[in-house]
Amino acid sequence: MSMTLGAERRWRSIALALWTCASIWFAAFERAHADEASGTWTGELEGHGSYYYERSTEVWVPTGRLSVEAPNGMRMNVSYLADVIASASIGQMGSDIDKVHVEVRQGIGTGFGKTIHIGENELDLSVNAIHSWESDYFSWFGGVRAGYLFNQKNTGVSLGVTGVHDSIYRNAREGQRFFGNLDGVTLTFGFSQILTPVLTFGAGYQLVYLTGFLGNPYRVPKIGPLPDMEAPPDTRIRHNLEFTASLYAPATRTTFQGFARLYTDSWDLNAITPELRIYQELGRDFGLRLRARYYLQGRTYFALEGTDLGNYAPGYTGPVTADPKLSGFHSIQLGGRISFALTAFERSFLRFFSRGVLDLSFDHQWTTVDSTSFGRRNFFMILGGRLPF
Amino acid sequence: VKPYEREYLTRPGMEMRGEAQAGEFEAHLQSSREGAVGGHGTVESSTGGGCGCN
Repeated sequence: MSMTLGAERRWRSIALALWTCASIWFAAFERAHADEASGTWTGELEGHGSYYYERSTEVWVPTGRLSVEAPNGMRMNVSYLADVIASASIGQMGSDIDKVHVEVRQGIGTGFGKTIHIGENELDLSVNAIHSWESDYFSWFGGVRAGYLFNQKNTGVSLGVTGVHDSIYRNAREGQRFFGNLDGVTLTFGFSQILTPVLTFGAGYQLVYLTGFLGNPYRVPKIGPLPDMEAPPDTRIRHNLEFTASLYAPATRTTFQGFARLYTDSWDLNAITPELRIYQELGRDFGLRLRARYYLQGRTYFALEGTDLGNYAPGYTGPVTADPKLSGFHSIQLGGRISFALTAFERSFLRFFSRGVLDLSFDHQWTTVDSTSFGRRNFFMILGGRLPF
Repeated sequence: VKPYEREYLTRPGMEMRGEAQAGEFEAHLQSSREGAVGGHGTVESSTGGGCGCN
């Protein structure tokens, strides 16, 4: 069902009111139970500035998050992000208005949670919500998660359920046109096990069901002699299976972390993603993280590729897309991150910052994706920090 | 593993939450350039937008 821009704003106002009520309840709940705890509030302030570059597109993303935990264990967080996207390619930005080269997406998020102690075990419950908007795309997201730690907290299981509702518009010369909705549900199952004092293992499965408009209203694959509107199927079911293992070597103060993901979906797109990370502690204040990631995917059954063009006659009405990320390709990503703990402030008047950590990371990716706008290389940098209090 | 044997489990890399927010940015980038989405502790918080494409 179509939702007008005014309706989008009304929903945003309703969400803000609900969040305010939840915050008041959160504060009231804490006051009512103040005698149960020590009275100490803790939290963390986190901020990052990210930059992404590829041949036709640059993206700047400042983000911030404030998390607090009440003495009774109730947690709350609020976050904000802005995506500033600049593109030299109109096709990439996807508008038929020549002047549109910069687009801004904003997002706000909030979450509440609490850990409940049951004997030696722990039950953690949390809810979160995110709303993001830009000139032609509105997204509402909500999720709940339950995690349970048992076996002297060596074993963990978790279950998460999320829902998303997106409204998709198209900026055009005659104004903003509604294109469709996209709805999705995600189920996530997780398992973790501490195997030894230096070895952990984790596994997870994620099922995603999407329905609605799953294409891009600006992408126009060429079918026969003329460009035509992209028409992917209106449902998609994704399956993710992932494994993680971490090993710490005390002698060298090094952590080796391996990750593998197996992916398949109802569009016949299959992918594998192995990744290795090495964390090296350097003295008391510095840390280094190196990462190598490989990504390999096959194509969807309806992806147009160069030699396929002749197979589609004018008037073809089946599913078709020219989306480069639905073609077959592989990529290699190498990156590094250095972390610096601000313990040097311990003996100064700035000792409030002495528990903070600054991070700077740089990643470079080489890809074989068949796209003139994406390019074959890209990189991104992230500068940020965390300040517990 | 006993509680007093957990010192090393708090080291960098033994806990993924240390890169949570930066990881969200990276996951969003990947979702706009790769067909596979999800995993690595992320959830599908949005299916599109913010990248000029779905």
